[in-house]
Amino acid sequence: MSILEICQWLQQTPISVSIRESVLMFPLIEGTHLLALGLSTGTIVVSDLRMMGLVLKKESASDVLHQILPWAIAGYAVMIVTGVLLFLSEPVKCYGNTSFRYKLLFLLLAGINVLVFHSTKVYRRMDEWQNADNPPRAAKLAGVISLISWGVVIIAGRTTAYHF
Amino acid sequence: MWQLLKPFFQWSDSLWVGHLIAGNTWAFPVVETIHILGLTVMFGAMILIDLRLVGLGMRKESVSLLTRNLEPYMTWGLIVMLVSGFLLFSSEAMKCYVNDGFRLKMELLVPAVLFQFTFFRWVTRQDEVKRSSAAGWAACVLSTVLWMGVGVCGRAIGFV
Repeated sequence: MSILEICQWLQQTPISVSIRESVLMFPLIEGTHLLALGLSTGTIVVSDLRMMGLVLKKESASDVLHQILPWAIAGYAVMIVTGVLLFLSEPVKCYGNTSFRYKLLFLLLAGINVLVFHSTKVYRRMDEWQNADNPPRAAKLAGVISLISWGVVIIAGRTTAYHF
Repeated sequence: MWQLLKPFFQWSDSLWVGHLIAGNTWAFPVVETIHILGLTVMFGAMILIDLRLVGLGMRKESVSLLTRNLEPYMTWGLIVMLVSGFLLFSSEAMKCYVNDGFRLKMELLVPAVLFQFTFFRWVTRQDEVKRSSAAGWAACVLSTVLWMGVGVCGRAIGFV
């Protein structure tokens, strides 16, 4: 079964049809997706800026990161659920949509970035540099990659609605 | 009330920049995307301050310290949103005039901005010891409700 065939199959499932045919469902799910974006990506931006040493400089990096994380994850969960529902409502359209493909690609990049950074010595030994004036290069890089990939996810997400 | 503002809508509708955006395939999506990026930065910073005000997050930092650090991002995010928002508006001002989503958005945006620069500012800059928890809760709940309302109504403009 090709990916397109899977999308075509998804398109005729009851959940897909019901979201598509309802007047209110799509806007409501999309509104929730947008609010979760503020909670998740918005707070991720702040933690990225801390990793880069640009904000809350005098606060311990580890404290800032670990206090933000639960909220970022909560928002992320809402984004995933609402995002999957939005995708389910029009999988075939998404399949052929270039913006949507970029969105998935950069979502993957953001995920890989987290996995890689969390497995580095710099992350595991944050207590050694958490109060340093200048964060290690690996932390700054992880912050920059995260900012860029989430930025592209948002840009591509917004342009998914348009046909260029 | 809206009737009184009609000339402003007509004036905005006639601006060259609005025509430029309306006449270009890419312009609207690009400006709209910038609008959302501004939203992300502003909401993220605001949510963390809100959570701190009611003790649900960032408890290791004081409200005033968090505000000092995050307020510039909130303000700049808002400025980006207001500028990009006006550009989007000018490209379809008369359509917005009759759009209930837009009207409600503005009815929430005006108090939200006023609230942000008065009560919210006052509470977040207060001395830690002097701040009452009631004021903290009020600032958190009101800013969340107002701004989330603005966001949801903004999203609704395209659907109603």
